[in-house]
Order: sequence, then structure tokens, then C-alpha cells
Amino acid sequence: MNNSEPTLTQSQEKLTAYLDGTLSPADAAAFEKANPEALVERRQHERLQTILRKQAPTLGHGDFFNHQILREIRPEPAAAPAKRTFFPLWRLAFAAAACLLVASGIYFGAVGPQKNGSGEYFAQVLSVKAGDENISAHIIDAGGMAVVWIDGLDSLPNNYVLE
Amino acid sequence: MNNPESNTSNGEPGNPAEGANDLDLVASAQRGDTVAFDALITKYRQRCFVMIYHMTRNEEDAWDLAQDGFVKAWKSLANFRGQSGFYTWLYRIMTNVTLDWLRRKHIHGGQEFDDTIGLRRIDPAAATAPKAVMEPAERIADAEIRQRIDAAIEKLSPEHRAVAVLREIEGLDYQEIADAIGCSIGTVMSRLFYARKKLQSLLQDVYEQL
Repeated sequence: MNNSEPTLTQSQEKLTAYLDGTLSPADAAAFEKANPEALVERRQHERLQTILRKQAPTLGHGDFFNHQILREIRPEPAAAPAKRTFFPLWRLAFAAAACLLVASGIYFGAVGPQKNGSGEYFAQVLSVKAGDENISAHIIDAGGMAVVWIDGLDSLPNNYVLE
Repeated sequence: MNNPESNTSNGEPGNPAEGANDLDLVASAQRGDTVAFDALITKYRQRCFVMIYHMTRNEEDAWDLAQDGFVKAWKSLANFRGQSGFYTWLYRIMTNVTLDWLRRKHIHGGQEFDDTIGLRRIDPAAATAPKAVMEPAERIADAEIRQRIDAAIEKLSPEHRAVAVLREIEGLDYQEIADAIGCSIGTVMSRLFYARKKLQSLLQDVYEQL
């Protein structure tokens, strides 16, 4: 802040004090007597004050004004204790494990047997195509490889033998 | 200084805090009671708003700065020792908030105190216009006076503006102004003298019509 204001002369300082009513009545009277223009100055000052004070707006929406300040200053509400969830983590893990178990059961109990059944299915297809019910086929699991074993086929006619 | 509790023109009727003792409310607020601080805001918001408005000549700015001032007051409540009245202390905060803002605007904006700046248009039917029913001519005259005052005050430096507002409008005495602004009484008187001279020269034709 700039505090280096020009120093007032004694008469300027007295005029300021006079206008602000800080002189004693005797000093004010003496000032008026010595300065005939003092009363004019005073009247002008009063008018100036009047028009300055006349223009005072009203703060509208006071409640909202307060509300915004209070929202700013109110401490953040402490973090609410964690709500007990319907399915806590351990329950979810348990449910997942149970699902896995059920899925495994379904797979090995229902899907798995189809592996063996696939041999019967293959045999049925083969019989239909071959037109002979003596023909059968089944799958043999041989060390990770599926071997199709077919019974009932005739030997190849001689004329089909590759030479 | 005007006693805010006895100043009914700025008080808000029906305010439950009207009769409450400031120091009691401050003590509660210092313990973190926001309800007590709310009562203090309600009690002084109008006076703070008007004081800031007279320095900024803009209602929106005055609104924002008054809120900033109250937030700062809340944060500084622990420093309030009751050596001065709460309102004097609050005044100091409001004045400093506004002066800082005016100086920043003066530095960065540059237009604020430009003599060539045009007068701002003010809607005579704005909410802040006097509520009494006025004749159209009267309303225009009132709006024109307001524009002239705005323009005149804008031509004062932030420091001269603050002193003029605190003395001429708020009615603070020299010591209170010196405390609020942080300068000597001599500086207050000097600023007041030159601010008055400038305002008188700028508004002479206005107040001679009154």
C-alpha cells in the first residue's frame, strides 16, 4: 500500500477535521470565522454525502448468500462407515467357488459321458452309412489320442487292394 | 463508528440474531459452531455488502467479495481476541479483501481507472433500484446520478476509494479507518481530503441539482 500521501497543510487538515465534525465547537466557530468559504464547503460536503449514501443497494437472496458461505466453511462430513454390502467379498468368493464346483459337476456328469457316447453315435452313423448292423465303432483313449476302433468290416476285395 | 446492532436501517427484521451478543456468537463460532457464524453473517451481510459495493460499484463483485470476506473471517476467527468489536474486525477483513481485489484489477485490468472508460449502463428497473414507485423521469434521473457516482468513484485509486467509502458512507472515524486499512490517521486525513476534492469536482453539477 502506498503510504506516501502528500502531507496536508494546516488549513487543509483543519478543513478536513471541520467537515468531519472533529473540531471542538469553539475551534469550529473560529474556523468558520477565519474562513468564510467553510460553510459553503460544508454544505457541498453534506450534499456529496447525501448522494453517496443514497445509492445503497440491497443484498438480495440473503439465504442463498449464507448457504454458499456455509457450504464453503462446513467441514467435509467424515467418511461414512462402509455399508455392509449384501455380498461381502468372502461371500462372493465362496459363491464363485460353488459355481465352479457345480459347473464342473455338470461338465463331468453330463458333458463328459458324451465322450463315450460319441463312439456309439459314430457307430450308429457308420451302420447307417454301411447298411450293416454288425458294424460297430468305439473310441479308445490312447494316451491323449482318440483312436476309432471299428469292428465288423469285411476285408477289402482283392480288386481294391492297392498295388 | 455506527453500532451495527442499533442500525435498524441495515438490520434485517425478524433476524433471530438481532438481540444476540456478538461475543457470544463469536465464541460459539470459534468452537466450530457454524450456526452461530450463520447468525453473524445474517447480521452483518447487508452492511458488508453495501460497503464493498461502494468500493467496487458492482453488485455481483460485491456479493462475491462479501462471501470471500466471510469465509476469510471464519478461517481467522481464532485470531479474534475481542480487543475490538467484531464488526470492526470484520470490516478490516472486508476492506482488505476488497482492496486486494481492486489492486489486482487495477494492475491486471488497467481499465478500472481509465478516465476514457464509458459509463456503464445500469438498468433503472434493476432490483437494486429504489423500491419506491418513481416517475419515469425521476427514475432516469436516479439512474443517471448512480452512473455519475459510479464513474466518479472509479476514478479514485483503491486507497482513496476505501477511505472515502469508509468515512463518507460508512461513517467510520479516522482511527477506525486507519485500523481497517493499516495506515496512520494523517494518511487517512490526507487521502480523505484529496478524495473529497476529486469527488466534488466530478460530481459538483450533480449535487448542485439536488
